[in-house]
Amino acid sequence: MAKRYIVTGTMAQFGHQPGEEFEADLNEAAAQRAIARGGIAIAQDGDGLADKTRDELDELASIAGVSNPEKLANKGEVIEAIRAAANEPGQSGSNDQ
Amino acid sequence: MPAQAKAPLLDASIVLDGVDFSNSSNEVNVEDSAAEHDVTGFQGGGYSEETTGLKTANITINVFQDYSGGSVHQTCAPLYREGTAFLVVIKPDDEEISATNPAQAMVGKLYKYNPVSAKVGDPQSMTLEVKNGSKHGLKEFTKKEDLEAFEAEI
Repeated sequence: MAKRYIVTGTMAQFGHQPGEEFEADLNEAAAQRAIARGGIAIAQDGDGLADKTRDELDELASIAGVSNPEKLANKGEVIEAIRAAANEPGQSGSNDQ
Repeated sequence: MPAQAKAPLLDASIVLDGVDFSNSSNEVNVEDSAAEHDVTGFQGGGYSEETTGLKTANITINVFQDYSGGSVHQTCAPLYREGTAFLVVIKPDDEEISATNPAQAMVGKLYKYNPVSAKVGDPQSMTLEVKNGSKHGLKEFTKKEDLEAFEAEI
């Protein structure tokens, strides 16, 4: 079954560039390896982060408590950092905007 | 007489377990060879007669090291350490697969990986050795849908 992924690494994965979201029916073992090495992550539909610009993401990351988001390599890493911060204990975990 | 085409390798596409190594690599060799067996018999006319035996598929890729998430080290180290079989796809050009841009695909295992390798001050690089790891051997595809069907099958 097809799933939505986001490229979080610095190299293109499965034909998609860093920071890009894509939907694909990947081989399950290959997808798990790619997630484990930090190349892709399962995208969380509906939070709209992938549509934002890098500047907007950096600002959101700062609000979410991510330190020095501007030093992260690409949009994918900033999005992952925002999502991780939102899921930390003490955070609301909500992505409502 | 028209000039003969001599294809330089400029925009090769190198994808290893889904990761695009093209921009991190500067040399690739896809080799398919067969063992030779001498089957010369008596009254053979003075020549030895050879026949082919088992085939060997081998891909070597010269890669620049990168330790960032999802890149060279994070991809190669676990594949080598755990002996995982993975798909490697090489195209001479980063365009659609076609008869003039055929994809070479193989399910292989990584037999050589240097996690650290350079002289002082030099960029780190290494030669990855991928050898056939399935009954499929080295396959050539000239249609995208055929490669996708192969990916689904393995």
